[in-house]
Amino acid sequence: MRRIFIIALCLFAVPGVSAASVAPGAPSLAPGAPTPAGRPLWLELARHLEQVRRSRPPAIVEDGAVDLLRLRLDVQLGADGRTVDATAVLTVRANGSTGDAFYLWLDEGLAFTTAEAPGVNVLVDTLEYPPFVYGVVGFSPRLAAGETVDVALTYGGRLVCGPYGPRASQYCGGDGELSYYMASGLFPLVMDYADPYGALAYELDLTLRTPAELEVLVAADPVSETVDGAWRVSTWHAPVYTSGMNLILLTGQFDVIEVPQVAPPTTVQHPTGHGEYAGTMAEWIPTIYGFLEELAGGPFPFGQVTVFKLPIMDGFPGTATHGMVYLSDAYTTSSMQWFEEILTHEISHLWWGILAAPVDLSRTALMTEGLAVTSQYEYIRRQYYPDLDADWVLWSKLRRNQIYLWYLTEPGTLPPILLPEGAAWPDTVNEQVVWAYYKTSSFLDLLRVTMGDGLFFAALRDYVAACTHGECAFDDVESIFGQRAETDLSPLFDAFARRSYYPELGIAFVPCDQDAEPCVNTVTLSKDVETTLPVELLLEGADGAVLHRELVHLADPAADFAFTTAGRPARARVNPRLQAFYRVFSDAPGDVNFDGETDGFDWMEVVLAQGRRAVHDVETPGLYDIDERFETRLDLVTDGVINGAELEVLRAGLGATAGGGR
Amino acid sequence: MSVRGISLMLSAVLSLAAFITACADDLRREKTDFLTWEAQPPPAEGPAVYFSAGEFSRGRLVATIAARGLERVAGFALRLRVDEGKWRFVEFRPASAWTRRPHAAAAARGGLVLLGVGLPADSGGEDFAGRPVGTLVFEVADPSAAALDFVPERSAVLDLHGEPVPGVTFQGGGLAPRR
Repeated sequence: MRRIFIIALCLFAVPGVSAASVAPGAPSLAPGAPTPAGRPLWLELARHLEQVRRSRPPAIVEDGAVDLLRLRLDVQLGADGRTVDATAVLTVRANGSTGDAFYLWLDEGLAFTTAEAPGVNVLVDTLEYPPFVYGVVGFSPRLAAGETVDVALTYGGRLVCGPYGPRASQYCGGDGELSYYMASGLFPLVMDYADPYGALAYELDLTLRTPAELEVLVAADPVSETVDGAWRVSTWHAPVYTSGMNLILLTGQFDVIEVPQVAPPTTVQHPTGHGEYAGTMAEWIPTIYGFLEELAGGPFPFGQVTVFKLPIMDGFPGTATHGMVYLSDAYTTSSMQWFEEILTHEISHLWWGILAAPVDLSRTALMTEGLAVTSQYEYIRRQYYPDLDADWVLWSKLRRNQIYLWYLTEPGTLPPILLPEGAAWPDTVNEQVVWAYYKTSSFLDLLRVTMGDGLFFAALRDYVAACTHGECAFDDVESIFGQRAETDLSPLFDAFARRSYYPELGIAFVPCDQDAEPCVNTVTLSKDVETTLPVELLLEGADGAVLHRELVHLADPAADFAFTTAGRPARARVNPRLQAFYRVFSDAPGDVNFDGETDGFDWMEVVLAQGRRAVHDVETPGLYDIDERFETRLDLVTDGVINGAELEVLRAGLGATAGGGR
Repeated sequence: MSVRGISLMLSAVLSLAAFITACADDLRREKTDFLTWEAQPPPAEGPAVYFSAGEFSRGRLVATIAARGLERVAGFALRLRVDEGKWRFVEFRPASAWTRRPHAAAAARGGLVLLGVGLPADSGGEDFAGRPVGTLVFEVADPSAAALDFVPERSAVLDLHGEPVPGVTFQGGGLAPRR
């Protein structure tokens, strides 16, 4: 079996937004922390299969592995939008000594009616996992290793389109204006019998018969379309379709806006009568494409791309797949800049997960969600704040990451970015989102600070070149970035991705004497872990301007670093972008402004912040319940609230110096 | 020795002790009577932090910091320079005139007194139109002329965003020989 892609149904929905819970103007979207599940559907279904297999007596569990070479679908969808009559012809090749089985997932309202293949009996064992049904398709006699066969399966019935998971996600749904149908519902979702988490890459042909009055839009390249009486017959093709590409059909009446002068040709489409924001999206797209082209090293290798603006509808906030990006109006409820940022996130998934799809998606979201968040942050920085200090702009974004990591979840128990073999995604929605989106993007930013922008983005282009339609896994990512970096990155991958280190850094700053020439300043760093840590130091003037920045590598438990500056710095700080993982304290207790001493200014900073909480709702915190302006450096006891505990630390430390008085 | 004799001796000793104590008080009063608190007056206009009152008595100096020309400020981060060989910092007490009880802390280090006093950002701030901020207390070990000066480049009045209020002048004071 070619383990290239993993099924990623709804994988790329943006965190915290469940269309079912979204109301216009109401940005508080996230479900509560204790809610179980919320994993991507493909993972949910694969886990179910794995559990079923484990529950069986060992003798019955067979190895099985197939290559799916081609999938030809002929699907008729009735005028009610629910009645289905379909044929699926799968060209499969057995690639194991005994293996020849696979799974097919469908909506629970559908049933397999016939199954046949030339010269061999096809066995379909149908099982239920509401709101789905799946067939275990096997052969008698078994296929020999390397034997290829065309299996024709017919199925039909009436779609139920039931919700699943705590977010009430749906694989089909909609109303008279717009309906959507995904794999595992109307279209079969194929999984390998030997490895449900494994991936398939195949050629896709689809013939679709739908009511003539409805327009259709499929996540594949259009081939033809005719109207035959009451039926619209459209054919679609994709030379390389993968499990990572969710086969999605939209039906309804659509309006189309051409995006000028972009490659590949791109349209923004939306249901007729729901054109709000669509023109603005079309205006944004050339800039977003330009940014992503620079990031990836070239344009998307699709014949065309459609960005579909979804109305707010149950169970479908957005996703990306073969040449298609879907995004819900739900994201307009905060601000237009946020909508543009999330549009960038979703479009970037055409690279990060669709074209360059890691094979170990069941164990890590580093190069999918992590890169999509990295892309959205960097896009906004370049688009709106190119003249501001990049560290400051990125920190204003990454502070959210730190607050999520430190306060919305428990950093000590949140799993490492690369899950250990056999480990599951975290249990709660908050943990899943923080783990998949924010821990990963924090780590990528740690790499970026360590490597520098030039090498980091060069490595990203290397990754695209090596892994588009490839078979890259986490170790390949480490290798690709490691080859570009000027320092050994493996300790960072080990400490922050394979394990969950949160080192504590101590910093003591002694500026040069007044009017000293040259002005030689000393910064002493200490740490509580053995790993060599990259630390970017910022020496700032009294007005906050950075007088000197330098990346140092702290190998010993403590070390002094001397820096000569043109003027006398007022403070020395660790680049706050690193502080999703590093917990930084001045050696002078309570020196929250890192000027090397604890004084009235530190006191007043903490006094002013009295009562602030990192997370507003401490009982059932959600992703939108955080205070994004919460100053983590003021939280001296790391409990997520600035109160008397911090004042006590300051009162005890007032007058203390880190490395000498002044 | 008779009981009466012992009583006479004890009485004599106590009288001598009282005499010595009285003499010492007189000497100290005599010496400190030469010193008086003097403060630099605030400028005629503009926001200012200054000493509105001071009293030196029985080896203790009590000096009141006041402020004027300030509206809706969060508080004060102040640094004062003292002669640590002469004065020992005892405490800082926020004035009772604050409309809400402020958070205050102060400490001395190497000839400096560092203090912070103020209110949280959500308090709405405090106006100072010639009102006391708080009182500094020192023990004066060496009763001689000495200054109590702000370090203006390291002192500030802070607004509700934590930003220094511009244009504030800081006026110190000190003990000076009585004229």
